[in-house]
Amino acid sequence: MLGTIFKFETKRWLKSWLFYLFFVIFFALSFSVMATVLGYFDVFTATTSSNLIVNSPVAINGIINEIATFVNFIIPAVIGATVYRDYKYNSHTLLFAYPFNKFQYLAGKFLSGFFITILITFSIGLAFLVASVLPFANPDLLGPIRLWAYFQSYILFVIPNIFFIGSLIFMLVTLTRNQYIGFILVIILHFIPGIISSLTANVDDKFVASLFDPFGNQALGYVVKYWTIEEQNTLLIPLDKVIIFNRLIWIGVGFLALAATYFAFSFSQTPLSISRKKKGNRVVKNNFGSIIKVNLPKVSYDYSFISYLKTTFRLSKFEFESIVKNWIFITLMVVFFLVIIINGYDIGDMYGTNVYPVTWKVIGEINGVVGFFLSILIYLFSGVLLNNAQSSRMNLLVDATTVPNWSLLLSKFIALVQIVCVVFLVGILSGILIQVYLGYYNFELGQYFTEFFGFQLIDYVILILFSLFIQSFFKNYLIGFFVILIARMIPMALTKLGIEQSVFHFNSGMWYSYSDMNGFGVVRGYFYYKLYWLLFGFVLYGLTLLFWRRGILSNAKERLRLFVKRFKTPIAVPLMLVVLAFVGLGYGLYYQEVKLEPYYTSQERELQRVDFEKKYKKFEKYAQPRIVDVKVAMDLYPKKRNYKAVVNYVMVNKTEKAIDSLFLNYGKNFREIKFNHDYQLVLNDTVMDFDIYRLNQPLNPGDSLKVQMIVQNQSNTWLQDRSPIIENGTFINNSMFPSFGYADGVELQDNDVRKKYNLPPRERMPEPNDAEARKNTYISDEADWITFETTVSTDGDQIAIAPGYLQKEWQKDGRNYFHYKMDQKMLNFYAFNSARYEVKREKWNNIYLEIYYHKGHEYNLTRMMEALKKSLAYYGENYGPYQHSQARIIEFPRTMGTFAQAFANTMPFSEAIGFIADVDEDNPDAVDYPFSVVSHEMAHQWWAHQVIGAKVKGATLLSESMSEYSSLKVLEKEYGKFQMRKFLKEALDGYLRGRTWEWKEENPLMYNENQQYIHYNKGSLVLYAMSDYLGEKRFNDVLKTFVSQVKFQEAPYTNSIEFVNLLKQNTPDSLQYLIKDMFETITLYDNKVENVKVTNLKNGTYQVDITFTVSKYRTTPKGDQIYKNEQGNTLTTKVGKNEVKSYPLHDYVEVGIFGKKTKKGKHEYENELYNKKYLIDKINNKVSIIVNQKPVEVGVDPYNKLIDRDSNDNRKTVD
Amino acid sequence: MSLKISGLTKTYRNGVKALDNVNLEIGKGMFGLLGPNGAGKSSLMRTIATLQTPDSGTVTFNDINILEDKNALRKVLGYLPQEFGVYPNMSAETLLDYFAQLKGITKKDERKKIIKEVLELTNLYDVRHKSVSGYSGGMKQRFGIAQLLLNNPQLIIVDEPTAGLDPAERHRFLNVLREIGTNHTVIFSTHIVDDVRELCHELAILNGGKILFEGTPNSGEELLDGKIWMRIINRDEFDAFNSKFNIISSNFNQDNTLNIRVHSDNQPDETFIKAKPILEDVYFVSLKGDI
Repeated sequence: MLGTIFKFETKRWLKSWLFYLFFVIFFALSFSVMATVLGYFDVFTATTSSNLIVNSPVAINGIINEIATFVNFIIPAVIGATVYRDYKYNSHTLLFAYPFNKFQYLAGKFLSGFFITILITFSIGLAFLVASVLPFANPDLLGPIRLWAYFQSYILFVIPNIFFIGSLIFMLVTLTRNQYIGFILVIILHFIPGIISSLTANVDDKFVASLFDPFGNQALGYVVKYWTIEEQNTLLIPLDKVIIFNRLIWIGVGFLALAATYFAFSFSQTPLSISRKKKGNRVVKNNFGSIIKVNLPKVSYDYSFISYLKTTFRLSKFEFESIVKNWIFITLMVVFFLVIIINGYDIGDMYGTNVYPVTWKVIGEINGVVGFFLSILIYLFSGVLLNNAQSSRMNLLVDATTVPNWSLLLSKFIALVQIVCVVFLVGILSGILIQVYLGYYNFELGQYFTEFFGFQLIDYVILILFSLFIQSFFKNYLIGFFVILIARMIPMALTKLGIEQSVFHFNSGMWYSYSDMNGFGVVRGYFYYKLYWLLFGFVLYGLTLLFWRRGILSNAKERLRLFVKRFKTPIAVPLMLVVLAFVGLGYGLYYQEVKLEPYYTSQERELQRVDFEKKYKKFEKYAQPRIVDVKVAMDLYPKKRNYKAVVNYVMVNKTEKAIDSLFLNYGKNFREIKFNHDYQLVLNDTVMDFDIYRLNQPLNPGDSLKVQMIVQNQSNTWLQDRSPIIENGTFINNSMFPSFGYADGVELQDNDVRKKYNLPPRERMPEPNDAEARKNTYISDEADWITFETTVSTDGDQIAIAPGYLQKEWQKDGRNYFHYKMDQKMLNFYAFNSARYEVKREKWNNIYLEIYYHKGHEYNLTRMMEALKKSLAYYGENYGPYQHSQARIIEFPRTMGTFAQAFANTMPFSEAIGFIADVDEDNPDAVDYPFSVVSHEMAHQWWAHQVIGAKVKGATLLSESMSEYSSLKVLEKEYGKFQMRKFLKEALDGYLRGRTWEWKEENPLMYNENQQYIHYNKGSLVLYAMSDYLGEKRFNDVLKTFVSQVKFQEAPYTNSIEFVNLLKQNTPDSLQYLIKDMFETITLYDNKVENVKVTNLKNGTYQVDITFTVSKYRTTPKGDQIYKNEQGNTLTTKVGKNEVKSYPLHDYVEVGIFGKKTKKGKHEYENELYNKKYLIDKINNKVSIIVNQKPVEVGVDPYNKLIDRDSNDNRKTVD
Repeated sequence: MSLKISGLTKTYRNGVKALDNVNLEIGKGMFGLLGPNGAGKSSLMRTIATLQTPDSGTVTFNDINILEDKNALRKVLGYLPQEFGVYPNMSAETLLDYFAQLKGITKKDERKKIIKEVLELTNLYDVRHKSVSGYSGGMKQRFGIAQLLLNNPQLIIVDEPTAGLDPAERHRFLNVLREIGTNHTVIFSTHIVDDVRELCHELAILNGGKILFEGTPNSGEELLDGKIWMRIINRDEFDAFNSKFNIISSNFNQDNTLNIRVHSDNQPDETFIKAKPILEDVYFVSLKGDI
């Protein structure tokens, strides 16, 4: 009987067009996704290229599962509805009389739905296979086809997930007989992984956390998160225990749900209901009177437009109430609220420290959730409202009344707009609750309301018009919902086909962003685009009206006929006007963005770069005179958002040969250039903005040339500003000025793409000893050290700042003028800031300290001041004297970025990184990053502005890594060791994650090519460890010597090799291996505590016996592991049942023992009982240590000073 | 006041000819549209009620061309479809207010007044706060009448309203209709002959999309005067009689014998006696295509 039911149900599906529709949709979707990443569309757009193979097991599993999440949305219809359908069509009364039992009925039903869903998901894998077999793929992106990988993905993830979700939905829908509860469940499940990762963000070991993810992604992530490119490309998904456990747990939950269904289900007629029963009312028939008289009271009927307009609003209230009373809506709102609250509690977490929940931060936090829910609500309820008369079978009654179509449509539209407002209000309310919860009471209601009602509302209005249009063609709104989801992907498809302009991408255009300093900034572009799409929405509205379903339509032809018939003046004229306005404005936008401002598609830009290299590469080695003196007159007009700069250079021919040609790269802001020698313009490339000037009299060695350039932004248009100046908080630097010489930065970087255009492969940076490259610092190709002077003017209410010391300050014509002059040489690297600043000034050891900040951002000023002082003290003592008598921190808006940057004596600092951090100084798991960022930038005054590396590999070891190390040391001095662990742990995580995204290859630290995960994350770990092993004093002495040797040097500039050699000279033989491991190669440890035994000794002390393993390996740049040393030796041993290999060891590794944590205030601190470095030369090790206090935890390399892929097993709790 | 239908034809996508050149003229009063299930009654009524477009033909009411100026007709139209539902969990009063708004009654107090009146008229006043989706079949039908009365319609179309009503409900329902019908045009479709006989002064019999008979009940009966014969037979004789005579109807007596009625110009044989034609005879004879 089970078989019969299964067969019957399955057959029914296989005969249904819906099954094939789903199959085709998922096939098409998957095929296009795969085709895109495989570079099918490279003919139309920029070349697709990646280090990662598209069809590696991990990649395939990733994409299959991503698309399979869309399948979740059809599970309510396929698995959920299978029993429900019998109720809906009342066949249950008949069916339940047949001779089968409950088990057969339920199992047959469930299995058939489950089976059909799996069949549908096969379309995804099939599409991938087809896409990778067809000949249009870029073969570089394709690995061998491994069917096993597909099989694994389905068996481990896709099918168990369908089983779990399917059985849960089957239970809910069968017992409640409500299909939509399944739909809600899918939406809730969508948020579960995010919520889990948010809740466990600061948990070190994610093993347990990853078991909670019902989809298994976090379990998989736990295993593969640090996989190198090579591993990602070649390895199959391992059957790790965390994956197996996770899968078993959730399959188990699925079985529980099925069992619950079995026990709770009975062949009865009434569904399980969670809502309370309405009180029963007896209805007494009292209708036996006979003759009556119909005498209706006289009332007035008003069929006028105005009257129906009023009616429309009343009807909208009716429609609105029907939604807010709908339990789908209520449930979604509850979920919405919870998701926001849960996501909000650790707002802006960075290194364990939160930021103050300022309003823009909270809005940023809830925006994504608001967007997700509103989209779902709009897609869904546009269909529900359009069909509500129909689905209550009341449509004929309504359709026979005089109410005009426009009134019905408008009322539904208004109701949806009201729903958007309700969601906004709930969002704002939850945002405020988050603020209250975090103890922040500066509620900027105005900002909330402007953001949502002023800006975002129109965006959703457009979406409503769009959704109503699409839904009006579907009687089943779940199908309509699905169609809208797919339709929203059209812009992505267009981009892939090379149509990138916003005017062709529905509801896109310019955006706006808020900062405390500059408010919402320039927003007219946003509104022009929204107006444009709103007009489009009105066109759709008109079409919806013309296609409006009223009465009974038998076919599409009839609908079309109706369309033609309705196309009369009252609709036609406004519609045509709107179409006209839409097209007109569209052309205006297109003209502004594409014609006026030459717009190049990504493909065109790629080709231009190729062109540039092919044409001008020959000039690369042609020396240019060097800039030695810079004088800039910079006029900023914040109110009008314009600027004009007069730039004066003195350039000197520092070469041995005469120079007769000058190459100039510039932008659209370039107005004119003048030389104090006679010259001719010999080439003017207006596409690439590249000019060549010929000096009539070549510039002899040692001779100087004066250059004057005028740089001014293009005038701002009605649509947009063509200037980086903002009303409050301008932050610009000298990269906006024209530059001399061939610009190698334009060259394409990716070697696969270069090959396509017949360009030779290139390195990101030259080798450290490249003599040619060492003529430049990595900051500037045009200059060595310069003298600098500038006059900056700005609006009367603002302060303008640039590097140098203020010489004079005056006012003229209501404008403020500032004259700055640097008293010594500096790098050719300077910025201009202007805003309405408050200033905090202090003086420390004859150094003037200033913080220019935005009013209201006073939270961390003292802390930042302190950091300046502590940094100056530490660096002065350990590295040498500070070269300036002033240090300034200057706040700039978050819209310009979330970073801080060091210019000579001047450090622009984003408002989002520290000014609003909510620092808990006592929390050992929260880094005081406002402090450490200031220290980092301050360290750059030595490590970049005194010691500057050549433009070769490893240059940033001498700037970024050194600054990270420096700031760690200052932080350690200030707070003690406990802040280090969190920082180092994040650094380790950052490094290990970074290498999984490497798009070229991973280099050892001293050869890194400006790779952030290496020079920041690995750099801080390595230098901290080196200093630890060598001793802080000894290590800092090396740095001090190095600074004194190379500071302010002229070309050839120093490199990492010079530094490492100096370090080697000062490192004892026993530790030389560290330099090899950490600087010269990529070396990773795998350290683990295997066992720990504690014996209580008689004298009250404790003997701790620890067995632990130490092993390490080197990797090639691509990620292959090397265990053999140069002599070909490898260590091998058995640990338990496993054979473990290691690169030969003669290493020092710390072993530590920890007691019960000490409590201070509300935080617990680590209690180190013992910590000592041991010389290790084999994999298996055993030590016996006696300590005075009761040990709680032991560890090998417990502070994660060494790079270890699994740092969590370094410690073990004593049982 | 008259409704003129001419040449109305409608074929559905599946090939069913729902209306086949229908011509009718309907004046004031109750007009019965009689026909078996699937005869095309609902298609005809929906077409008149502006809810469906015919392939060809015209419909006019007074001066209104229904197919062109739908809204003009809707102002004077009251329509009760064969089957309808309402928004769940809403009281009669709320729903009527909703309909009153749709029908253009803008003043709140006037809506209140007329809703009260139609509720009383349909005897729903006491249950006006109850949700209509929970009403019994008869109450729901009366609610249907209540809503159609709101715009004081001149043309009322009710599609098989008595199906499934208990006798008392049906009785009351027909009374309401009759009262309305005195001053308006009411088109009333049914497959129950008694409904028409009790109520209508004119009727049409429709089958296969065609009008088979049109006229007053009396004129129909007169047409058959002297042509209807009846007798009582035993059950097992039925097949023999059926093959020999044109039996138009048969019903059991309590003793398990059968009354049969036969349509014939002459007395079929001497055992038959002449019967006075009734409307039912007209109906059955029409369906057999003998008129």
